[in-house]
Amino acid sequence: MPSTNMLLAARNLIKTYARGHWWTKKVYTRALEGVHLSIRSGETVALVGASGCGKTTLAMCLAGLEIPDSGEIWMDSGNLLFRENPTTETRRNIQLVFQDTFAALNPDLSIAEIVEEPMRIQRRLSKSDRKDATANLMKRAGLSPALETRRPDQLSGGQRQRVAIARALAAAPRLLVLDEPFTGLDLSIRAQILNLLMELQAEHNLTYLYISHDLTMLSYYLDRILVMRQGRIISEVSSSDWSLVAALQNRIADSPGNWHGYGV
Amino acid sequence: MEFNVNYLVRRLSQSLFLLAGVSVLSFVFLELAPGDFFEEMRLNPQIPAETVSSLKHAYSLDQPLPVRYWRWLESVARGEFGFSFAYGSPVAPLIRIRALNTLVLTGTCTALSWAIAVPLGVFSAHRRGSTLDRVCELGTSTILATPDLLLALGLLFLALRTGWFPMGGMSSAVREHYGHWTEAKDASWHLFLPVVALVLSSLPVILKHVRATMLDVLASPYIRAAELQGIRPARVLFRHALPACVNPLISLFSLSLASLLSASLLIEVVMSWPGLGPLLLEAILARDVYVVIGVVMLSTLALVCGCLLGDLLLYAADPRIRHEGAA
Repeated sequence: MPSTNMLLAARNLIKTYARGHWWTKKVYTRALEGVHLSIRSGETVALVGASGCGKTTLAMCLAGLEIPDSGEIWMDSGNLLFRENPTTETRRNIQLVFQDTFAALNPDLSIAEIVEEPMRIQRRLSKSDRKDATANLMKRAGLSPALETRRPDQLSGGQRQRVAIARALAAAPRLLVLDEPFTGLDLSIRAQILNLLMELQAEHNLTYLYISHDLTMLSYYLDRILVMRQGRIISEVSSSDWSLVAALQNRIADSPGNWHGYGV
Repeated sequence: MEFNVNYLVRRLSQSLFLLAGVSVLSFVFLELAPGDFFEEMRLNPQIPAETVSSLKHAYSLDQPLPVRYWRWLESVARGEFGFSFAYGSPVAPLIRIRALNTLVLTGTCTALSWAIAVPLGVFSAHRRGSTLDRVCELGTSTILATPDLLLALGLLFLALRTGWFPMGGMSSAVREHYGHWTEAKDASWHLFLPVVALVLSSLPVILKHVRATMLDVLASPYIRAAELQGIRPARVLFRHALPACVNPLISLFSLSLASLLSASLLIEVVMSWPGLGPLLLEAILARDVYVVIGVVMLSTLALVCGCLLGDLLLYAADPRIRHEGAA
């Protein structure tokens, strides 16, 4: 069992995807090969690795969007997280900010509705309180009140990423998993989003798990870097060790993705 | 919702051009077809050639095509849509009764098909890979691979062997002593087999479309985000996923509406339903050209109205389309 200051711990996670129909021979691909992971409360951790090494699958498993074939995920030193039907409470503790900001927001809802939806589900606020909370969250995420009635297709990439962050915060999570949050954003917008995330972390005592290819901007803010390869976490690097971080960055840039499939 | 009048005017004018084009093409193709309504009379030695010629003159069949087209346009303006040689009456009242019969059949079939396909498709996509999903997939593929004609003949065979359903028509021959309730039961009884045949031919397409669209949407990151927020599966399906499927489904629904007067022609002929199908077939065989043109024009009008209605529904349902239209 993990120690008491541990927010999240995963033990020996294995996840296999099967491709093919019920009438054909299936091809199985092992995305996670026994992942061990622990994240302390308030930490900022990066998960890096080449494309297809299993980073997003791990994030999905941690968030409960995928059920691992075997292994355990612990939260708060005792709660076994994901059984057959994870509860609303366990789900909202971990929120995900997706890579594709356009696909991550419901195109039929207004920005205010998108941010408000997680609060509506929790039924902890009245309608007027929800509206106030939505306006506050939008303001805190750097979104103008004039955007409330707009829809995602009417916003810029940076604005959409702010909406995604505001929506994630509306669920009052403890761990925010950010899957390539700076993809498609220019350098100045990346810096603004990163600063916003740092401010929000301090305000809400959030724990961050960044999933990224690019450590150039993140390395200044990270506590630890976990390196993933072929479905396993193969090493852990302290962000204070600059030479190792630089070497790691070069290696990520050079190495191709590497999944291995096998027919059964 | 601010309505874009320019858009509507543009679509209506396009529709008028389409109708005009179809009417011209119908006249040209029927002119190119060999023979006319009085062809058989000419082969009968008991009918003098002068009689045939005078009949053709009386019905303006000896006039050049543009003159006949202009006269047909005049009759359209009078609301007659030409004259049926076989029935000896204007085409419009003849088609009106048959079109209503066809609409009773296709309207029931469209309503039933959509009422079954949407919930079943949504549920099938939600429970992908489940027994129900597999049964639906196998069932729809089998029915799709079966020709409509074979389905209709199979149902007729069932009716013949069991005697549970009538073999054709819209009502029983003797109706004088029937009350309203008995008449309704009799109509439903006659409607049952043609509706089943039509539903079987249209349901698989709609069901597969709903399922595929729903599967696409359910894989979207924003649906995964909704699940992550702990939103109940029913709300994820009906508040988040289904509205995102509306656009392609409206397009398909508009095609269902567009084919209201043309989708059932074959089934009507096979199952002796007194709709437009048998009328069109008889008119084609007898070269009753104005009836053929009338049915074709009515089907085209339904097509145009269905597509226009679909576009208006899309305009009303999707704020992005309104936004693009206003830009």
